[in-house]
Amino acid sequence: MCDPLGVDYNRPLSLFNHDEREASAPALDVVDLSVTLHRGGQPNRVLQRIAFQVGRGEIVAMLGESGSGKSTLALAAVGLLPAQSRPIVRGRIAIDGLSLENGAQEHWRRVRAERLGIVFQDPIGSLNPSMRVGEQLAEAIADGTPPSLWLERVGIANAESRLRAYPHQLSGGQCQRVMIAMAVAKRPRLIIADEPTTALDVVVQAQILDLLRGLAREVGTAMLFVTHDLAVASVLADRIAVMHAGRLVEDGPAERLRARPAHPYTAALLGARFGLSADRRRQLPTVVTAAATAHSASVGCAFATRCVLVTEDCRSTRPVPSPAHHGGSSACFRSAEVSADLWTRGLPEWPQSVATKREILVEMAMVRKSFAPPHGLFGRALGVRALEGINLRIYRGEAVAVVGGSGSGKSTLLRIAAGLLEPDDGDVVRARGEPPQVIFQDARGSLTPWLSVGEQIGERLRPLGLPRAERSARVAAALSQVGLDPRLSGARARDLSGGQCQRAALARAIAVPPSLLLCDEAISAMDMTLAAAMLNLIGRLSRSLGMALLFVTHDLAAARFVANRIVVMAAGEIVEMGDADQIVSSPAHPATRALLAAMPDRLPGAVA
Amino acid sequence: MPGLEAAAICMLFVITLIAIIGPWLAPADPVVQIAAPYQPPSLRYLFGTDEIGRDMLTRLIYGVRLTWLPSLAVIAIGVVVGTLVGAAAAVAAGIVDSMLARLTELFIVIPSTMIALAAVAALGPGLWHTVAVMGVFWWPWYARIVRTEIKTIATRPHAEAARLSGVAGLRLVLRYLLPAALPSLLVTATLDVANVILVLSLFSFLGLGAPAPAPELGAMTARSLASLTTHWWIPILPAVAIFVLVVTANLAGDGLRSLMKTV
Repeated sequence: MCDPLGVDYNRPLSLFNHDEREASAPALDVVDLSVTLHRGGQPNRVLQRIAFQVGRGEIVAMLGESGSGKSTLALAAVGLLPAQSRPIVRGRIAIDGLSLENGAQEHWRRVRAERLGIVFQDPIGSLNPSMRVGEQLAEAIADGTPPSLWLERVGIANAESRLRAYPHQLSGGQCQRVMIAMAVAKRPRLIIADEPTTALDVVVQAQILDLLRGLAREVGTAMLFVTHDLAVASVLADRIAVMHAGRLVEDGPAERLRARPAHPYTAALLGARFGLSADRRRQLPTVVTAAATAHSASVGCAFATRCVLVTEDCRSTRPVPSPAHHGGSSACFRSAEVSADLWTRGLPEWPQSVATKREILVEMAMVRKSFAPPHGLFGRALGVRALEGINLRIYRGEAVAVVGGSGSGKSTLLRIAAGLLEPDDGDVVRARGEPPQVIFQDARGSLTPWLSVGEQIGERLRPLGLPRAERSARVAAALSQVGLDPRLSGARARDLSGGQCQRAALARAIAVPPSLLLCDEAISAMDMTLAAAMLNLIGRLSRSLGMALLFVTHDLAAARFVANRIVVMAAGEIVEMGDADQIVSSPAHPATRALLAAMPDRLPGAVA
Repeated sequence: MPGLEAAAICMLFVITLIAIIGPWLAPADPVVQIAAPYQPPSLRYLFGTDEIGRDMLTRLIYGVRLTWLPSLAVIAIGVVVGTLVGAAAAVAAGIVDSMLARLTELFIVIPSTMIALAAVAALGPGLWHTVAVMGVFWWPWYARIVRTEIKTIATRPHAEAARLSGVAGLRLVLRYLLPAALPSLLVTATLDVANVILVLSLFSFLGLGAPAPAPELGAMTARSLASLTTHWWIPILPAVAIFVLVVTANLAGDGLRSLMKTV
C-alpha cells in the first residue's frame, strides 16, 4: 500500500541498523530522559532524568496530576513535542529496539507510521475534519482488512454507512473509537494513549477502556496509558508508573502497588480517590499545598513540602528510584513505612449543618424544555426535548445530586433551577432569600478575564452598600474561607491555576451565602487530588453556611459522597430518586445500573 | 509580533503627532508663495515647490493633517454609533434586535460611497461635510461586530456568573460584555483607517473635500496630475504620502491583531 507521499510501508526500514534490534528489546525504553520546554521565552524543566521501560505486550499506566509532566513524556515518546516551545531533549528513547536519540524527524515519521499507535485526549480534533472516516482508517490499516471490519470491531454500528461520515458527524465517543481503530489497525508494537477517556462520560469511558485493553491483548501490542485517574490505571494496566513534578517517583506491578504503595505521593492519590465505598461521614484526605513543578525544588525531594513522612534528609537530599517491597521501585527514603492508608488515618468529620428548618427551597413542577435545533439545509423543525415533565423539590440545607450520562438533561435542569434558563412549560417556585449561585465546570471560563477576582467577588457585595474598606475585608474573608491567599484578590483568571480558579468562583458564590449552591460538573475536569480538596470544601461550606446543594455530575461516587439524595436522569426524565446509599447499593432503573457498571472500580479487573 | 508591524504602530503615533503639531513643525505657510515655481527637491526646499511656488514639504505636512485627522474622526464617529447600535440590539433582543439588525444590513447593502458622494455634493463640498456624511455611513460593520460579540459572550459562564451575582443593566454591558467586543472592534477600526483615507482622498480628488487652496493630499495629486511627466514631485509626493499612510495603518492593524491574540 502506498500513501500519497509515496512511502512504501511494507519496505523494511532501511534507515535503521537492524543489528541493533534484539528479539527481547522492550517496546519502549526511556533512558535518562530530560526535557526542557520554553514558555514565554523562559526555559522550564518539565522532565528530569526519567528512566523506565514498557515490555513487549505490557500495558503500563503513567499516573500523575496535571503539571507532573506525564503528557510531555507521552509526546516525547512519539516525537511530537510542540516545536513552538523549543524543546531541548536529553537522553535516549528507543521504540522496539530502535534508538531515536537524535530525534531525526525522518526516523520519527517512519516509526510513527509503522510501529506506533497514538490515541489523544481530543478525538474530534485528532481526526482530519475534511476527510471521510473510512479514508482515514484505510490509510492506517496495514494488512488490507476492510475498514468496515475495523469499525465493527471497535463497536460502531452501521459500519458501512459510517465509513462515509465526516468526523463532525460522529459523537466524541465514536471519534475516539475510530482513533483507536486507526491506532490498533496497523498492528503497532506500542500504543501511546494520552488521557483518551478524560473528555468522555463514564459509560463511554468504560466501553473505550474495555476496547483498548481487549484489542491490545488481542494484537499483542504494548501500551503506555497516561491518566490522572488511579482507578482507570488499575483497571487497565499490568504496571503503574507514578510521576510527580517531572520525575518518576514510583513504578510497580499494578495490584501490589495499589494494595501497598511505596511512595507517599502514590498513597495520597490512593487516599484521595473517592470510590463507591468511601466513608461519607468523614472528609477526604487531601494533599494540602499546591502541586510542585519540576523546577520548583532544586535540592531535596519535590514532594517534601506536601509529605506527612518528611524528614530533614528529604529536604537536603533527593531520593533516587531504588528497589521497593512490591518488586518495582520507589524514590523515597521511607518507602518501607508507606501504606495505602497513610493519609486516611484520623480524618476530620464534617461540621454540623446549621440549617434546621425543613422547608421547600425550590420546587419544580411539570417542567418541560426543548431546544430548537440548528436549521439543517432541508430543515425539519423538530425540537430536541431536553426536559420532560420534571418534578423536583429541594429542601433547605439538603444536598441533592443529579446524575446522568451526557444528554440526559441534567445540566438543563440545573440551569432552570438557577434561573439561567426559562422553562417552556411548568412552574419553578423559589423561596425568598439570596438567589442561587452556580459553580461551573469550566472554572477559568467562569471568571471574567479582564476583571480581578476581588472585583468579581465584590459584585456580590454591592447590594449591601458597604463602605469600601469593609467590602474589601469581606472579599478577603471569602477568599480565605475557600483556602485562597487574600492577596490573590488582585489576580486575574490567567494568573491562577485551574484549582485556584474554581476556589475563586466558590469564593464569589459564598461571599453572601446563597440558600442554594448549584454545581455543574464542578469537579469533572479536575485531578483526583484537586477534586477531593474541592469536595471537602463544598461539603464543609454547605454545612457551615447552611446552603442546600444541587450537585450535577456523571460520577456516582462523587454524587454519593456529596449528597444525601440522588436523582438519576436519563433522556430528559427523572428515572430514579432516593437515598444516596440506597441508590448505589440497590439501583432499580437500568440507567442507574448502567452508570454504576461504568464506574472504574466496578469494571472487571478492578481491585476493590 | 514581527518587527515591521511594531514599527508601523510606532509610525502611527509619529504620524498623529505630526498631524497635530503640523502648524508648528512646517517651515512655511502652506498657501503662500515662498519661492520660484517648479523648484525640484533640493537642500533648501526638501520636497521642492509646486506650480505657484509654495513649499511642498509644508503642504505635505498640512496634507497629512488634513487627511489623517478627518480619517480618525470618521472612524471615531463610526465606532461610537456602531457600538451604540450593536450593543442596543444585542441587549434588547426580540423585535428591537431584529429591527436594528435589518437597519444595519440595509446600510451595508446600499452603495454607501455613491450616496455619500451625492449627499456631500448636495450639502456643498467641504471637509467637515465629508467627515459627517462618511461617519453616517461607516458604522454598520462595527455594529455587527459588537452585536455578535456581545451575544456570544453573554452565554459564556463568566457572563452568566456575573448575572447571577446580581449585575444587570448598563453595568453588565459596560463592565462584563462590551470589553469582550473591544479587541475585534479596535482591530477592525485600525484596518479601516486605510479604507477611510482612500475614500477621503477619492472625495477630495473629485473636488468634494477641502476646497481649493487647502493642501489635501488627494486633491494635490488630482490638480497637478498634468505635470506628472515634467515635474514629477508635485503629483507623486502626495500620492506617496497617501500610500505610506494606508500601508502603515494596515500594518498597525495587523500588529494590533496579533497583540490582542497574545493577551
